[in-house]
Amino acid sequence: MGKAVEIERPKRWDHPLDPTMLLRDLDWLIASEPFVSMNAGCFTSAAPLIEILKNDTRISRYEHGDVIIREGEYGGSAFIVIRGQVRTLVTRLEASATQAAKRERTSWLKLLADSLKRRPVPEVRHVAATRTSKNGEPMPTTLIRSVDDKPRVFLQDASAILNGCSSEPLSEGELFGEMAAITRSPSHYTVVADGPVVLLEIRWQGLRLLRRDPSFQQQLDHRYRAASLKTHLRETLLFRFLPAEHLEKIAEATQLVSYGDREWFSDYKATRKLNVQEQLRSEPIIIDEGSPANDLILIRSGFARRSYKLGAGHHTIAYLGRGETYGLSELIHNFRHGNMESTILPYQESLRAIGFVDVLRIARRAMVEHAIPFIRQSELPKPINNPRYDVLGPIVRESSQKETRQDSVDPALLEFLVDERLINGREVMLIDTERCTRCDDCLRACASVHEGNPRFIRNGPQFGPFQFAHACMHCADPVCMIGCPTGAIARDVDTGIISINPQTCIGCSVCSESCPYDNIVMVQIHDAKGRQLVDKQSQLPILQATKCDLCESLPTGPACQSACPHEALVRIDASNLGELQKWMTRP
Amino acid sequence: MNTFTAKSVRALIVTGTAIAIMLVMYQWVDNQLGRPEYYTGFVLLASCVGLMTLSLRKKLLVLPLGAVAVWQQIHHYLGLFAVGTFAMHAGFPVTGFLEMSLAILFVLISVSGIVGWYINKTTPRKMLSAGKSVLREDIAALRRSIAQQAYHVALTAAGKIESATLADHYTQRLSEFFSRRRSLAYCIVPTGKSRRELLQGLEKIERFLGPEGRSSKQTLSELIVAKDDLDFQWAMQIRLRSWVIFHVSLVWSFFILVAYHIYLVYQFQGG
Repeated sequence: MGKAVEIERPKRWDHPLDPTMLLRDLDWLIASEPFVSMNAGCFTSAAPLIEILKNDTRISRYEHGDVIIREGEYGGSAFIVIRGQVRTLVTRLEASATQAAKRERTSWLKLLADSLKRRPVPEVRHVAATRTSKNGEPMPTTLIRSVDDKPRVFLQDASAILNGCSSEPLSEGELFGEMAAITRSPSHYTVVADGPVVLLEIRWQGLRLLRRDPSFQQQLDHRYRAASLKTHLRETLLFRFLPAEHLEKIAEATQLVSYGDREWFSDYKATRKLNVQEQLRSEPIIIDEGSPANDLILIRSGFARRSYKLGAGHHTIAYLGRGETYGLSELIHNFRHGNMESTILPYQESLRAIGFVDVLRIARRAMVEHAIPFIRQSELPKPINNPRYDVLGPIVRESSQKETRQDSVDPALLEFLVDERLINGREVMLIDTERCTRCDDCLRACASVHEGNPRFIRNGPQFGPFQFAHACMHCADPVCMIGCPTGAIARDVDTGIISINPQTCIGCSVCSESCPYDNIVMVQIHDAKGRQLVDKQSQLPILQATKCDLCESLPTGPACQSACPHEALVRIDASNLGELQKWMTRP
Repeated sequence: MNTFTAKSVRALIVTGTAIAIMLVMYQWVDNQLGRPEYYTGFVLLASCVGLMTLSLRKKLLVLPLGAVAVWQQIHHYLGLFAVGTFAMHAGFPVTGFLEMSLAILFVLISVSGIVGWYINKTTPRKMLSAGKSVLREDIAALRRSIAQQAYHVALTAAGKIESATLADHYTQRLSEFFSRRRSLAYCIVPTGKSRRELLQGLEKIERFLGPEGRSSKQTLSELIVAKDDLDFQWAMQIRLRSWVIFHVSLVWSFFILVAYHIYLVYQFQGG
């Protein structure tokens, strides 16, 4: 082994959001609202307010009609209007108008003609392609322009679109986009610049640090409570019979807490090589088993691992996703036993954040007074008959006592899904290699409907005979969508399919590098004559991100699945463990 | 009885019934002093065209005509029905050069179909027993990597007196195994004979090795197993692909002869 190389330890702000930010701008920012009212003492010496502003913010200029946030986009930043006005569109814009990759269903005749056509050149981009409506009129579409050397998607004929839509103006000093940025949920609205605008963009890392200031945190909490909390609680299955006044009380007793690293995907490729126990240790603890059961945990976004100590390690028994709760069994048990100290039970299992998790913590007292009386008996969890912990600590079990698991899923499969983060997948390509003859009919089928270029690799992590191929899983937490500068990669709000609009993809590779599963591939593109397209200035090939789009333009669904002659391939929701187990154990 | 077995039994009953109906019809037409061979001939032609539609279905995936897996099942049972119909149509013994050629081709197609069905059923399990699924395109690179590792182990062993025997053994017996591709015979019937012989060879020289040599020997044994597993996967995949090509080329040859057969039948139908 050679001598070790000494380097400067990488620091948190080695890569500021705007390396060219001027000191003059920084001074002005710190003297403006809301930062001027912030208490500098709330920030640590390692991350003072001035450094947060210097490294996690940037001042950006937008022209009239520029799209700042697209509806359905997974935002990574919040914005404060510094100068000018933006408009929040209340009515939904056509997908074409926001550059989302919405595709129309193509007619069978055209599909038939296309599938019979030989395609010697894969990935052809029609350079001067314009979209036209059925009557030949150009559709109100968006284009990309460069503002301060940054690509901006803008609405063509923005004034007409803004006048035709119901919208709300946001003027100087107002904050928007913070909820989508904090909780990594899709934005519910589109924000467009109404005239020339200057905005302060705060990336989520900075936003999280700024929440240390109580007044700012309060402001965010207030906005969240006013805008989304009650709706979110009402949509929760457990609380659907709660009268409005009780729901109000529950909302008041709810805390929004985040765990883990939002950029889990950047570390994941390295940490997946660790053994299970090491990986588990790296996951932030939300609930430690044996600690007092004071809250009900409601997962707002992300995934959490539910496990208990077994020997020297931890045994995963389930993972929880959006809308699922933890701690209800303990709360109900303690409620039934009158909260008497001798019979009270602490949390029986640990809950850990897998990647990044946003949870709502609802205080026990509020649950007991305002929620439990309204939960139907049939929906209450099973009583805890064999507790692992009581108030005194761990209970030593008789060896004859059998473990009762809530899920009938093979625990090894569960751990595999969690460790490989496949639980994130909503349309996982699962191949049964006990049936797959490697005939590649699936690949040929995929290529035949995707311009001669298959959108997946028939290889990937394997659990026993079941292979999880490298095909876009249309994840619950689509980290690939964060940071796309043109919004070319977008999720269809209705179908949940994530696809890339080839006309607006600029080939920057952000999505491909973000995808933790290597399911997005950058390919070179060609013109209709097969000539490679290269950049005018650098002469380097122009790339385009490609991935599985679940054959959304086909009326028959994913071609790979329907083409498999051996019923060895399926597109399946990995979070639906029952369905997964059923498919894996079919005769 | 599980769903799959129940489905298969149902399909077999339907196929058997269809053949029985054909037989009854054949007798009835014959008793009416008709031309039963015309009737069976057209049913056979229709069945063969039906069998060919599987390839067409694979090309026209955009049409909502059901999953290819369903078509594949229909292909299997229609094939069985065609065999029954062919037996009625051709009779026994088959005479004439063209008829004989047609019969031989049909039998070959049927046998290759049954063999194909069998190898399609059994090969995936066999490949799985040789480790994780590997892409055929990756096999060459993986083989190269294994060969390099083996060479490196042997080279290291050559530098030490206690394990020099291992380096000699590598040069004489193992080097060729790691560098060569397997024979055509291996592709047709892949066996573990070479692997067993090579592993036994290594066992035999173990008593001449010191502790480090024994560890290198263990590494070489693992590399032999890894290379053999890769060869096995490669052979199995090649075999399956070759079988498809063989089956399809027979089908096309058969159809050319069928066209000629029909032409002759109509030319001489008056006689």
